[in-house]
Amino acid sequence: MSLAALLLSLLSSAEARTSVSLQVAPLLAGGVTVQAEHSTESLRWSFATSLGARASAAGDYRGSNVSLAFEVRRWWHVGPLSSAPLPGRVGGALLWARAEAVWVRLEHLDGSPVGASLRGGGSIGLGYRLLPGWRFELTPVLGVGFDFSTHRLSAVPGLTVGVVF
Amino acid sequence: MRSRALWLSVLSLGWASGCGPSLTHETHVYDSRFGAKTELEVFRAEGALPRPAVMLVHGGGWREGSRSQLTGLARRLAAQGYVTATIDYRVGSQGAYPAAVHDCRCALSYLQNHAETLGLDATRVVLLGYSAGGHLASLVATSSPVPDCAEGPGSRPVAVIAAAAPQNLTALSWASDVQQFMSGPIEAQGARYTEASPVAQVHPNQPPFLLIHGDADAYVPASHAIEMREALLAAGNDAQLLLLRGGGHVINPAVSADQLSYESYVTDSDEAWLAMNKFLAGVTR
Repeated sequence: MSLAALLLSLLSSAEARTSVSLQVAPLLAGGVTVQAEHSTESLRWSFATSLGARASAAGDYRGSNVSLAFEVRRWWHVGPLSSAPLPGRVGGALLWARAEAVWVRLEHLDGSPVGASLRGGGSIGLGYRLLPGWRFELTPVLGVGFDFSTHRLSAVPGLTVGVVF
Repeated sequence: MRSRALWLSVLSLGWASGCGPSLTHETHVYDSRFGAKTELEVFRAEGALPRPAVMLVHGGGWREGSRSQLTGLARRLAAQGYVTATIDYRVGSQGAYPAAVHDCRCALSYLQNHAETLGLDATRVVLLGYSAGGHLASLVATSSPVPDCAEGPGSRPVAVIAAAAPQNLTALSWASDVQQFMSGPIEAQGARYTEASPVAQVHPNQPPFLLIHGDADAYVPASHAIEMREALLAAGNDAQLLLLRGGGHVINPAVSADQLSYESYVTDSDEAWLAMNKFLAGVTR
């Protein structure tokens, strides 16, 4: 199935479901990220959109950034805690691919601007989402990311502790 | 202000899409007594010379690492119009204090004494170091021994950018890397720990510092940068501190807000890039 056909079936499916989660991990880095995840009828594919904002710098500077990310996930509902009673929740092993853009602004404490930038990146990897209850999720992921600004490849370990609304 | 931000964004996108100028690079040995351990690599974009320069000093706990760690940053800065040089220096037992500090000083001397050939302005050389490299860069700027350099003595850098840098070795005396670098524990080498701590060497009339640190750095706590900033300002010097929220030593916020990136430095962050550009433009004017 092509990506376009998949998107079409996703949008037109009456059985497709959406969940919204608050990512707890970004709080540790001074930010908030809200993620909406839309699952296909078969629950084998899902699409997530994340919108995050972060107070990113301190000291003699004040920094903030806003990020927007799109992620495609392929699911295999195997293993422990891979299903939950809440409809539309998907768990288990996943393969993910993500594209992101981040807008950053930095200023001095007196408000004078240092500069701003917009950059993009992408990453791909594996993960496993545990669903220990109706409203919680725990998703360790490991992937490889590429930053289009620094031209650097890096490992992307992550742990998402989600609260589903 | 809005047009400036837009302009910077367009520049950033342009670079990301590979529109940067072509760079030349060449390798030099700055102290032939130590061969490849004292090589440096110079990056330069085409255009009018001479230009201000940035000498980049890698990290690795004084026991490992190579100049290639900072090649990406060196190329990025060279594309901005600086002549950049990544240096190797002796590490491990061969580089134990003060050998590695002397190597950095001799590399700086080489750049300054070959300024015309390399196309740089000897009076506008900035030191930039990461982790142990930040410590070495800070110590080169704050202390003033005259090592036996093949190229003779050099002069001080015009400014320093120290990222994730240990500034007080006494406070890190428990760390095995520090003990190896100092050739013994603090109980036996107390005065030398002080001598090798940039924060203890601060005095008036030092070059401006930009200190960059992650506030979640577990290897080198951010207190090192905070303490160094306070010492520099108390002595009447210019110092700025950029603290990256959620930043670690080698694990840092990646492109997205909800993922971390392993083997990325605080200097890879957009915030650091913006701060470094503004700082470099100011000190090399």
